[in-house]
This record gives sequence, structure tokens and C-alpha cells, in this order.
Amino acid sequence: MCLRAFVCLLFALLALVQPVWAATTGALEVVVTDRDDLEVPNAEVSLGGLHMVGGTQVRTTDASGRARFANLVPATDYEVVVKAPVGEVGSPPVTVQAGRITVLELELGKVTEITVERPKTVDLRDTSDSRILDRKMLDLAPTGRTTEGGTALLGGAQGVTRGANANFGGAASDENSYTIDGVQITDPVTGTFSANFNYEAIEQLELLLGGYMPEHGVSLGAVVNIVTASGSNELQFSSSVFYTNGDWRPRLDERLAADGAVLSPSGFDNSFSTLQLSAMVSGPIVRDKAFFVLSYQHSRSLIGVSGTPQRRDFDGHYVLGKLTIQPALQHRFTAFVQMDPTTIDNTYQGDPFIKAAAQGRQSQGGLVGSARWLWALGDDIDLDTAITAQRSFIERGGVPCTHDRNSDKNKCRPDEAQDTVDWYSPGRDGIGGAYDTVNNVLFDFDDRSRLNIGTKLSMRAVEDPMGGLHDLKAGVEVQQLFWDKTFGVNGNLLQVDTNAVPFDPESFTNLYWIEYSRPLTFQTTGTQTSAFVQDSWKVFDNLTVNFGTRFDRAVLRNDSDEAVLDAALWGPRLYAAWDPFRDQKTKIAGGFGRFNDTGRLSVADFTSRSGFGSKLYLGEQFGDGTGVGFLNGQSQSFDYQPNRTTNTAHDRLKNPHTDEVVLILEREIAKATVLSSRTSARLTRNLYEYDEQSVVYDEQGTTNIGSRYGDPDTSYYRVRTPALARRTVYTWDLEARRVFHRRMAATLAYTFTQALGSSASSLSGSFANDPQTAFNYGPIPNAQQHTVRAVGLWEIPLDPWTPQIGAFLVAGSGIPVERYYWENTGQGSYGARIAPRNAYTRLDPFWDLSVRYQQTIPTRTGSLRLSFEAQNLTNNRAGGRISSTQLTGGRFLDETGRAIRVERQDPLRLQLGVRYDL
Amino acid sequence: MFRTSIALGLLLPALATGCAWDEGLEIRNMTGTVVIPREAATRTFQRSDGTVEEVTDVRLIGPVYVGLYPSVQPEDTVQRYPHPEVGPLFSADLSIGDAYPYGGTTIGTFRSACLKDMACRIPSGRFYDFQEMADWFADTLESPIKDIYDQPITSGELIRQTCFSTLNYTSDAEIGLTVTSDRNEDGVLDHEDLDFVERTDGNFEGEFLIWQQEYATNADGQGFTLWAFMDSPAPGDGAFSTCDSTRGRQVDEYAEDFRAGAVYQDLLNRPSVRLNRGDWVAGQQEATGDYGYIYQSPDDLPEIWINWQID
Repeated sequence: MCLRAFVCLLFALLALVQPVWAATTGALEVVVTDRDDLEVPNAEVSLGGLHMVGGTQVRTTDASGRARFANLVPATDYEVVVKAPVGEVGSPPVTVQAGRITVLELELGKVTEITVERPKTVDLRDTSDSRILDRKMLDLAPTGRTTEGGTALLGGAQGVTRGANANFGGAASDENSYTIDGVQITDPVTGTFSANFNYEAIEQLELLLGGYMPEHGVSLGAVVNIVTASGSNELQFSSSVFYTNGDWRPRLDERLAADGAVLSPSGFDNSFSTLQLSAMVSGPIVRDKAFFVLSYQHSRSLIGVSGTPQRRDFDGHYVLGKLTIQPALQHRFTAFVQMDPTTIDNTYQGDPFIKAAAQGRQSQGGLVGSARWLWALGDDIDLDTAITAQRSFIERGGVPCTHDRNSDKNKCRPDEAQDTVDWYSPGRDGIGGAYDTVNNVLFDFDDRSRLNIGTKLSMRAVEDPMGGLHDLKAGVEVQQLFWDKTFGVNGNLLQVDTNAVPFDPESFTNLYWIEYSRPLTFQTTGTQTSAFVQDSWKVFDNLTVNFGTRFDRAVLRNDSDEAVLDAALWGPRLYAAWDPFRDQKTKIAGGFGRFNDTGRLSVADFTSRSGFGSKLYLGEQFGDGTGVGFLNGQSQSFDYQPNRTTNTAHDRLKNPHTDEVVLILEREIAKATVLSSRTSARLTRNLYEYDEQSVVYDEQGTTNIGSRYGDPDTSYYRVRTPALARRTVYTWDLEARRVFHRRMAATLAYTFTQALGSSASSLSGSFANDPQTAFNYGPIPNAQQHTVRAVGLWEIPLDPWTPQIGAFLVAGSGIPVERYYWENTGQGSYGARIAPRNAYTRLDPFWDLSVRYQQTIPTRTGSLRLSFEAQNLTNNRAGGRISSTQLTGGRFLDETGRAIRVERQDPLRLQLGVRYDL
Repeated sequence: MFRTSIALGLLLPALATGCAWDEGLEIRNMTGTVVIPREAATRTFQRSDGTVEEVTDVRLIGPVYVGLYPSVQPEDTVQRYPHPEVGPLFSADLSIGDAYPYGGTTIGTFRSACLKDMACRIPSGRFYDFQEMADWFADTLESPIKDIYDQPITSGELIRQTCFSTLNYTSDAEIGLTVTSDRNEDGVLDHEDLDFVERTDGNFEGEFLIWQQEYATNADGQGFTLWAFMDSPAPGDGAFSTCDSTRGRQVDEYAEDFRAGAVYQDLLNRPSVRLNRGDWVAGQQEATGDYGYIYQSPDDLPEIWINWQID
């Protein structure tokens, strides 16, 4: 296959239309040698196994004794048999991972002698900083049965809590890319994870932290690539129950000193419990031709975070279906469907003074569907075409009422029908110890859609006339995004009450009320057209050059159909991997890549014209009994905000981008054990930020002293991508990793991170106050300086059973802490710095140890697996992530002069599980 | 070679476009010098014992406000002193039109009033330490700062500790009223690190810095005009009329319940509303003959004299 032909095909493809091409399949390269270690050409290599959709495949080794099998679904039980005139050899089960080439060396001996070599642990072709958890590790590791628990094991994530959207490598939590079975599930509005599914259905979890090739799409952070099970020739059924409880110690309201001393015990009865009921069935529809997977999970959690009477009640139903059909060797069709309808009751957990009638409900979920056609045009060339659609929704409002006397939820009036939601009565919020009463305040109907179509051409082992082999890929993609939203306040009115005497309900009085404009409705849209071309050129046996680029044309429009962002972006990559000793045990890899951010709909929406107007009126509390000071007339609003936003976008915007340089050193230091050093510098520039065009400040930005527009009470924000909005992250990761070998896998890693910047995330407001620019640049809170991570997974062969143990330890230095001071802009708040960003102090170091024990018991028809997991076994309570609104002004210190920790590590949680496999 | 040229061809344009990108906005951090004539920092005090004392002191320099305006007009029927160009009156309840500044800043803030009696009386950058602050009000102004029991404070340390307690601060730098940084980088924290220092000619000078100012020019290519004024301390208690005592941080600790005070938020729009007899403004500049300083380029380093006393 010559390069010219490839270029011709590429241009033909560009006329078509394509997504993020996250890897969903892997490859196996078999190297056959004889007893003298010489390559054996023309040997017949057959690959089979339960997961071999399309049936057993046979290849013949080339002159270098190699045979390659591509597009294999991830599995751990592939079987290889090699036949040659000089001998025959077979292998025990071989693992294939998505996005990886497993290299298997087999030595032919006597006909009756079988010698098996392990798969290579150093991937000499891969130049990315990537980590993988396969099914076996996902089963054994103490992940809490969550994907975020899984990614925490892989490293790169920052922070002490196991949140759903982690910060990887100093990037913001909304700058990652998430895919499931190659389907993009990154929220098009927020840039966060947007789909829930059954953990038991995950076959592989891959984390790409850097150095990855153009096919993986656009992301300034990490790429989290989830591949689900694909079924096999064996009918399998599994069901499981996992119950987690965190009510073992008083938690969030417990007062602790900076040094960990307990200042006061818990005054509330917080609670945390989750229940996961799962079932999965998979198997053949037609043997060797068509496999199916059906998975369901019911996830229920009850979490009271601050002593509120009603616990946050999460009730989700996750359905996943997958159909893989390969009627002939040349064609494979895959259909994928996922949905996750969920209701969350009692969404407001801000304070304990809230009556059931004022609580909120959120309904959310979505539907993801994809159809994929893999057309093998030859042994080493195929065309992968996919169409995907995603629609997600979030609906918020009041809690439906109930006539159930035993329920702690909103009680219906006698004349009200069961499950009635009150959309009309204005809510009443209480502050200062007064109760929230009457009704939930707002309603919100939010629908987000993505339609994606694309195709990718892959050509493997293309001979180069100058020498070496090329693995070429090229693809094109078109994506359309929609965000429809309706947002309003019940009754267009909010009453805010207080107790004139704090916590004395006898002094309950109205403090103020706000009249709102009618509900706003808008739609923002986005269109993205992308293409990429890349090559993995194996120049010599010990040198591989990976290079390519992607082109993204992205247009994001606000609700007035104005193109706020209209960008044409190039993302070139150039990496190389070198084996200096030619022993296939050492790799020196590195290179440069540019990663672009094509934006999110929330960026375009910042300039949407639809606004939410309000008028603030002061209530009885402000009266003096004579009518003076009590502003109760329609013309006496204390504050007025127009219902048309004054935000604009500068006409010259540059999409944010990260220029990355990576250097990876790997050496196999013992059998199945690799020592690696990964160093990266990530320079992120031109982040989306807004400035304020009207307000003139004093020398420190703590007081507004004038207005350019003669309108001191209104903010005039302007979206920009200034050169000052930047972030620079240096990371060094030293890791010793043992892949599963002799029933044990382990990882020990140390990571150093230095992250400095002026903008931790897009549209953070860093540049809204001009004089504050003086203090803008400093450590960003996304990154910890030092992190140690250790993972150990063991299978202990005891008679008659084999207990399995998993342990995970993570320890890190505390994150830098910001302190804010009083500023007089607007109504006044704590938002000004008087020292460089995050220079105030650092939180305490933290560590978290989690362990898992499971025992599989064979039964007559299958196996029963019992598991026990303890997360944060020692119940450490170090301070956690700090948001920009925390640790402000006067509340930084408590009455004893100690720093107040607002968020802490998740406390000790115990999980019991039972799984039955048929 | 073919492949190398492909790689370089893809890489170099992307890097080049990344480096060459221009946002198209002329935004600078603009600095300059404000000169306060010696007489503006001089005041004659009639002591309670009948003696008369003339004091020249940097602590008599109140907060200084710097604004960038379309132009500065000489004294006329609009105002009896040089003033920024103002727009037409569009509202019956306004006494003067809006001056629409392009930008501005201050030299001195009212951010930290730790006691009610300190509100709108103590700008930052004027006192070396808290004892000097206590002494100035007690001895020079003969209007001592009073504590929450209305008793005069003679100890600077008491003011300092009150700031720590009331504002939950942990360092002098957070309070921001005294010298905490070596501004002139001579290795010593002293009076030379205050906002204004005395020059060899006996006048006082201080630097201003306007952050992230977007430069603007008129049709003739001429830049905006710099104007500045100083709010002199009121006779007696030394309070400042540019400070709004209903704004600022709310302090409600123990028996305290007050606002720390902050500059009026329309001060640069209608400065004349807050300017009183005894305050000083920038008039005709001796060096150029212009009223205010007219920018020729955003790189200018202007020196502006606040040389006109309002009578």
C-alpha cells in the first residue's frame, strides 16, 4: 500500500462527513520465532476465543515472523495457535486492551513442546501518557463501584474527594473528554460527564493524560475512554447487589481544628447510604456471528449533607444495550443504546431550616444511541463509520406532594391530587435561622442534544519505499449541538424571611422580596466539523514516529444566532518512541502536541440576549414603624436588574489551546514490572474570560469609584481570550507498575505537580476587576504539589477458594488556599484579593486508604462472589477542595482563631456486595 | 523527506499562528506620578492651649483620585475650578452632568476601618505604623480615635489588635493601613515606603498605576486626558468627604455595628459633588500649558500636578 494511495483515499474521505475516535478495540501482534530465536515466516497463526466475533481468524506470518490481528474487542481470553513445519505452539488466554497493540512472542519448539512468552509490558509504539484498568482490575480494586473511583486509581486526578468530575493534570474539571464505546458523552454545555451506567458492564477504563494522537478529539484535560462488554459465544448472566453506608462517624458538621483536633462533635445526624442493584445478560444470538449485551442498574442513594430533615434522595435507572453483528469477516455492525432516567428529591441541602414543602426535585437523564459499521476492506485496511445521537435533560422544580402520612416529603392539601407539583405559588426562603416555607423557588427545563456522524479509515502495515511500516488513520466528522432551556421562578416572585432575633421563630418576619421577569426561553447551538490524519511510522524495529494533526472548525451561537465563537483550529502532534538497547524492554518517548478547545455552549450562552430581570424590595425588617425606610411601593425598588443581559463578546476571540511537551522513559526492570518516568509541560493559553467594561476601581479593586458608562449598578461583561488568561502546569510522574502476573498486580507512583496560572477554569471572572490583575497569577487550586499513589491487587490461592484483595492508598500535599476580602462593588461581597492568587496558605496534607476483599464461591450453576470494601479506612478528615466562594473574609477563622475547613475528605464508608454469575 | 516535510508543514503554521495572534485591544497598565505641592500638605493648627502650629506632613495628604477623561476644562461657569468635561444634564435630580471617565484609580483606600471612629478618616499608605496613627489623631489633630466605649485610644497596639479581632485578619499586610512592603526596595521599611514621599524640592510625589486600561483616542488621534484631585482631611476630625459612610464592610461584632466606609461609587463621574473648599485639583500644568495631562501615546509616563486649591 503506497502513501499516494493513502493520500487519495484521505481526500475522498474528506468529502464525507465524523467524532472523537476513542478506541473501542485493540490489536494483537504475534511474533513467531524458532528455538534459535530466528523469525519464522509463513507460519499459520489462528486466533480464536469466546469473544471472537466473526469466528476464528487465520493469518500467515510475514518475513519478520509477525502476524497482526486488528479490531479485537477487549477481552482476557483470546487463544492463539501457531502451526509451522518446524513445530506448533499454543498460548494460554491472552488479554487484548482497547487502544493497545498486545505483542505476544511465541517460540516454536518440538511438536509436543509448548513454550509461551508473556505479552510485552513496554509498548514500544505508544507515545501517550495513558493508563488502563481492565475488567479484572475493575473487579478487584476498591473503586466504590464507580468510574470516578476507577480513574482515581489511575492517577492524574487532583483533590481529596471522589467527585464525578475530577481535575486531571491541573486542567479544569470541565476540560476533559468522556466517551463510552466511542460515543462522546461530554456534556455539550458544561464540559462534564453526562451519562450514568452500570459499573458492572465496563470492560475497560482508559485514561489518557497527554501525548495522545489526533483521533482522540479535542480536550485540554484528560480523555476518559470507557469500553463496555461486547458479549461472547457463551451465554452469561450476572446480578449483583452493593450496599454502601457512611454513617459510621459524625461528619461534615463536626468541627475540627487545622491540626485535626475535634473542637465540637457533630450536632446533626448526617447520613450517607447507597444501594446498587445490577443485572447483566450477554451471549450469542448467532454463534460466532452476533453477540448481545443487556445491562440494568438501579442506583439509589440517600445523602443528608448538612443535617437537613429530608435527605437527598437519588433514584436512578441505568439501561445499556449493545448488539455486535459480524455476518462476514469484512463487515461488523455495532448498535449501542444507553439511558439513565433519574429523579432526585430534596435537592436543596443548604441548611437544616427547610420545610418539606419547600424542597426541590430534579429529574434528569438522557438517551445515547449509536450505530457503527466497520468495513474491512482488506486484512490491513478498514473503514469505520458511526452515527451517534445524545439527548439529555435536567428538569428542576418543587417536590411533588404526597398523601402518604408516613413520608417525610411534601404533603398534599386535601384537595390536591397525588404527585401534584406547585408551579405557581412563590417560594419563601428563610435566612438567619428562619425556615424555607411554602414552595420551591424555581423551575428549570433544560434539554441538550448532540448529533454526530463520522468515518475513519485505518491502514495498517503500509510499507514505506524508504523503509519501515506505517499505520495510517484519517477521519472526518460533523457534529451538531443544541441547548434548549426554559427557566423561571414560581409565581415570578421570591419572598425572603428572617428571624429578627436570630433563631427565635417568634420574631419571624419578611426581610425582602424580589420580583422576577417572566420565564426565559432560549436556544443556543453549535456546529463542529473536524478532520484528522495521523501516522504511526515504525521507521526501524526500535524507532517509531507518531505524527499527525487534526483540524476543527467550530461555530457556537448564542440565543440570537450570533456566532460568538467561530474558529478554525489546527492541532498538530509529533512524537517518537525509541528503544535504545533494542531489547524491547526500554522506551524513550516524547514529543510535542497542540490540543485545542472548541468551546462549550455555556461560553456562547454567556452572551445570550435573554436575561432574567429582577427588582428587589426591602421588607418589614427595614421599617422603623413609621413607614420611613420601609419601601413597599412598586416604584421603590431597592435594586433593579434588566431582563436583557448586557454581556457581549469581543470580536476577536482565540480558542484556548494547550501546547504540551512530554518525555516518557520506561524500562522493564523485572518480569512484568515496568519503571517509568513521565514528565510533561502543559502551557494553556487564551482561556475564555470576561472583563468588565464599565466599572472604574480604586487602586486595589476593592471599591468602585466611577463608571465608564455612567451606570454604576450594572455590569457590562465582555468575553475575551486574553493572553493573560493562562495556565502552566509541570508534572513529573515516577511509577513502578507490575501488570497482572502470578496473581498479583501493583503500582507505586509519586507525582510532582506545579500549576500556576491566572485562570483556573474558563469564565471564572478572573479579569472582571482590573486592579485585581495584580494578584491574578499564582498557584491554581486544581493541583497538588506532591502525590503518592499505591495500588495492590492480589489473588491468594488457598484451598479450596481463592480470596482476592485490593488496596488503594493515595496521599497528597494540601491544596493552596485563597482568601478573599471585602469589596464594595455591586451590593458588596467578599471577592477581592490583596495578595497573589492562592498565596494565603495550603490545606493540610491528606491520605486515603481503601481496601477490598472478595471471595468467589463456586456453585453448581456458576459462582457466587461476596465482597467487602472499606473506603477511607482510617476515616481521615483532611480539608478538601475549596471553591472560590469559600474561606471568604471574616469567616476564614473561627472564634478560636483556627482556620475553618469547609469541605473534608469523604469519611469512612463500608460497602457490602454480593454478585452471582451464571 | 516527504514525511518530514508533512510533519513540519503541519506543525510550523500552527505554532506561528499561535504566537502571532493579536487580540486587537490596546490595553496597558498605565503608570505615572502625581505631585502634591508642599502647601497642599501643610496646615495651620490652633492648639487648645492657644498656640499656633504649622504642620507639613504626608498624613495631611488625603486620598488622591486619578481619572482619564475626554478633556479637562478650565474654571468656568460649570465649575469654579478646572474640571473634567461633562455631559448634558438628563435628570432633574442631578446637579451636574456625568463626566464619563475612561478609567482611573486612587492612591489610598478606605478598606480597613477597624473601629467606627476610624471610618472615612484613615486612608491607606499614610502611616508608618499604628502608634503613629494613634499619635497623629490624638496629638496633631487633637481628635483622638475612640474605642467602642467612646474612650480615646492612645495605644497603636490596641488599634492593631482591634483590627485583628474585628476583621479576623492575621497580619498587618491584611489590614493594609501601615507600611508592610518595601516599595522603594532599599531594604528598610520606613516612611520612604508610604504612598507619598517628600521630594528634594519640598513637594510630595506618589505613583499611580491604572490596571488594564483600554487606551482611547479622539478623531485627531489624541489620547484621553489625565486629571487628578485630592480630598483634604476635614478640619477637626480629619474625615474625608469623598468617603460614603453607608458603604464599605459591615462590622457587627460584639457591640460594634457600623460600616467601614468606602468611596462614593460615582465619584469620578461627578467629582464636583464631593469636592469642597480646601480640596485640591489638577489645573493647568506648568510643563505643557494644558489642563490636565493629554496622552499622546499609551506609553506616556505622565507627571501631573495637583496644583489648584478650591476656595
